[in-house]
Parts: sequence; structure tokens; C-alpha cells
Amino acid sequence: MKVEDEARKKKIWALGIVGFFALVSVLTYAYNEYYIYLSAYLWFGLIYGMCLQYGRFCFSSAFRDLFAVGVPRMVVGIMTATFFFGFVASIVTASGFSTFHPSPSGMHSVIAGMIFGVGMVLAGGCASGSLYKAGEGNGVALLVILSISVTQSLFASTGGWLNALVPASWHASAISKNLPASINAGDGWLDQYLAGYVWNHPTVTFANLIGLKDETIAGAFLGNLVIGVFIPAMLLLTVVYFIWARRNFTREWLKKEKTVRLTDHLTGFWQMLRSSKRTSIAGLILGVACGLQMFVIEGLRIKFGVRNAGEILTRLGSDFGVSVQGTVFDPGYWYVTTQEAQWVGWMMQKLGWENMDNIFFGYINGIPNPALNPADWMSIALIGGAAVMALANNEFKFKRPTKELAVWAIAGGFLMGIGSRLGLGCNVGAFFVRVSNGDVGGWLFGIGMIGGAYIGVKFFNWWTERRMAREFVGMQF
Amino acid sequence: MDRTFTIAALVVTIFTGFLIGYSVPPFIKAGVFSERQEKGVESQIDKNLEQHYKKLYETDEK
Repeated sequence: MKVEDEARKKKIWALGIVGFFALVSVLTYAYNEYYIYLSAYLWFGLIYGMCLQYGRFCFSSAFRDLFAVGVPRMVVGIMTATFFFGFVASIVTASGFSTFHPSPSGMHSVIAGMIFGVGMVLAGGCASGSLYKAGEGNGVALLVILSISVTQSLFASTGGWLNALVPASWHASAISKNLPASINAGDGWLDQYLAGYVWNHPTVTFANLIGLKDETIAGAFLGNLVIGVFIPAMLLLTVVYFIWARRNFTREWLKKEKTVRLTDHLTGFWQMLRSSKRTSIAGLILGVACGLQMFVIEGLRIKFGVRNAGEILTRLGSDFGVSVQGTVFDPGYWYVTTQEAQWVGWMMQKLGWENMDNIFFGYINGIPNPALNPADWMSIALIGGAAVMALANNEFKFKRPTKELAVWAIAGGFLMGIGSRLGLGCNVGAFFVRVSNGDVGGWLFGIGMIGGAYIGVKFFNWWTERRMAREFVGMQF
Repeated sequence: MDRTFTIAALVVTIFTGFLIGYSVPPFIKAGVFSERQEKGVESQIDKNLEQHYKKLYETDEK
């Protein structure tokens, strides 16, 4: 009876969360029409959270399961989701509604991905995975989010001794960009990395590589979807099948047949693709929702005659933390880490730490009040959406972190924070969204992230074995 | 299907549907679905705000 009561209470809480978000949307819209822009972020965030929790959509689990125990289920699910999002994104791009802009890509994307990949394995959750796990009541995930947020914010504004590590060519190049005087581009490691190094790299999509425009049917579907998503994803899955899944399939197949021909492996490959139904369904809905969010945000921008939410916040009378260009972070699609840096940046600014003189906050993203930050509305709703699903399915439980897990969470979050800023995004912003939209840099980040995850798993195995050996010696003694 | 999930999904669908419906007319008004030959959309920027940001920029350069 007690268990049933608990489950019923959780269901009421789930409905309460949905009701709360509905109330926020209705009341804010009634107060001022412009709030519908923030509500758009909120409702898509809620959908993302529900999908992530339903599909257990976590990049860290995906590569940890693959490298540590040879289970490809989640990797397959992520690739399926990427393809579905790519398909919807291609429709949106070809129609001219896309809010996506490719980012400068180069070797830095691989290195950033690698740092991020190590971090997500150590932390036990990627940037998006930590958000949905926080919605399940996981205290370790909350620590990971805190660590990513604080690290990014500090990294964005730290100069001093870090300036000594900046190559002279980056410094000269950053100064030559002639940024507004309030932005001190010659001070701060990240500022000089961005303006003096990253911005000098080209932004390339697969459509551009074959001489097509993104906003054409051929460019969006042939260039960005087929060449940019489908072929690399199939190559990756083929490698995964032959290294990890083939052995199991062969063993089962030989129980019924005498030999395994190469064509039989097509059956095995198909079985592997079908093994992650839950993650694939989540991926399909995620993909459709991501595309629809781009459509809705672009429509609202036309309606209100704005290019960025900074203008909306100014009209709402809250121009604190708006960047020198009048902008705030407003990607128009799913993103995770930048808004996490922003709320810490805003808090530190309020406590007297100058954050508006760097490029990341002062020139591009701003540090608006988190209560009015569209991307923060998305992240809060994402956690809420995950909580709704976890509560509805009786999977919600507060879990306090142990000391050991807390250390791993902080260390992993630190590396993910650094990787995110170097790669201009996380597993969502720098990989999932970019790959789906045909950005070459997305795969570069992905290659690094997979390599980093492999290193992370090997390190973890070594650490665990060493610890177990010590404990074993202690027991013998 | 679980009733809690059905209600939650229904509320999400209503709000998201409203948002999609809300954002279609601006596209129609901008002619994206009809007479525009080129792909892509343009937003009408408030002139006063544009001036406001230009002034901000000028102040920073001084």
C-alpha cells in the first residue's frame, strides 16, 4: 500500500511540474506578448528532457558501454537520432527556416572533443545526460552541472598567468580584429584563442565542400544529410558491428546454420540497428522537435522583427547583461553548456567579478538575468521534462553523491567545461546539432570525443583494478 | 498507456501546437511560402533599437 501511495504521489508531482510550466507560459504571455519567445524555448526544452529520460540518451553511457563491455546499443541509438535530426534539419534548411550557423573548425575541434570525452566518462554523464539525470534526482549529476558551469565561467574570463601561455601570433591576430574597446581581446586566454586562432578558421558544411549552397534541396539533402550524416554514420556503425557486435551474432547464427557468409552479416547489422528501439524512438522525436524549434524561433523572430533575444529582453526592460552588440545567447535550437556558463557568469558579475570585458560573455553571449534567459528556460524545462518522465514511471529517486563520486563528478565536469569552451559546445552543441546540420567540425569534435571516451574508459579500468588489487592485499593481510 | 504520461503529453502537444501555429503567419506574411524567389527570411529590425546599439558601440570605441 505504501509503495502504491508513493507512486501515486510521484504521478501528482509529475502533473504538478507540467502544470507549473503551463502556468508560467500563460501568465507571462498575459503579462507581455514577448514572453512567448521564452516559452518556445521552455516547451521544446521540456520535450528534450522527456525524450532524453525515456531513451536514456547519454553519450557517456554510450561509449562507456561500448568500450568497457562491448554493448553497442546506445551508440546505435545516438547515430539513429543524429540521422533523424539530420533529416528534419535538412527539410528546415532547404526551406530557408534554419537558425543554424556552422562554426569554425580545425584541429582544435578534435582536441576539444578529446578533453570533453575524457571528462564525460570520468563524470559518468555527458552534458545533456547530466541534465536528464538531475531530473531523476541524481545528486552526482547536479554536481557535474555545477562543475561544468563554474569551470566555463572562470575559463572565459581568466587572464593573468594564463596570458603567458598565449602564442604571440594569437595575441597579434586578436588585437587586429578591432573589437570594441570595452572588450579586452588582448587579455584572457580564451579571448585570444577565439579571436586570434579559432576565428581564423573556415566554417564549412558538407554541402559547401561539393560546391552546393546549404539552402537548396541538393545542398541540404545530398551534401549535408547523405554525405555529411548518413555515410559517416554508416561507416562508424559498420566499424562498431565488426569490432563489437559481430562476435555475438556469429555465435547465435552458428547455432542454427553451418557457416556465416558475408551477406549474413547484413542480418546481424540490421539486428544491431533494431536493438535500441527505445533510444531510437527518443531520437526520432528529438530530431523532429529540434527541427520544429528552429521553425518556431525563426517565425517568432520575423513576427517581432528581431534577430536576437537581446532585443526582446531590452524591450522587456531588462538590458542588464546584454552584450555590446545587443545580443544574448539565442541559438534557436537545442544547446546545453553556454547557458550553464551564463548563470554563473551573471552571479559572479553581481558579486563584483568583471565578466563583460571578455569575448564569450561581453561580445557574444551576454550574461542576462537567468530568470529571463531563453536558453536557461530551456535547460530548466529539460530537467523538468526528465523529472516528469521519471516521476510518471516511478523512477525518480534522490541520490546523494558519495565523496568519491563527488570528486569524479567535479573532475569530469571541469574537463567537460574546458572542452566545451575550446570546442564551442558540448556533445549536443558541438557534435549532435552540428553533425545533423552538415557542419564538418561536428565530426571533428566527435572523433576527438570518441577518442577521449576510449582514454577515459581505459583510465577508469586501470584505476579500478589498481584499487581492487590494493583492497585485496589489505584483506589478505 | 499510463494516464499521467498521456495528460503530460497532451499538455505538451497543446502548447507546442500553439507555438507552431503562432509562428506560421509571420512566415506567410513575409512571403516565404509564396512569392519569394530566394530561400531564407529577413527580419524587420526596429530602427530605434538599431540606433541604440550603434550608439553603444560608438561609446565603447571612445
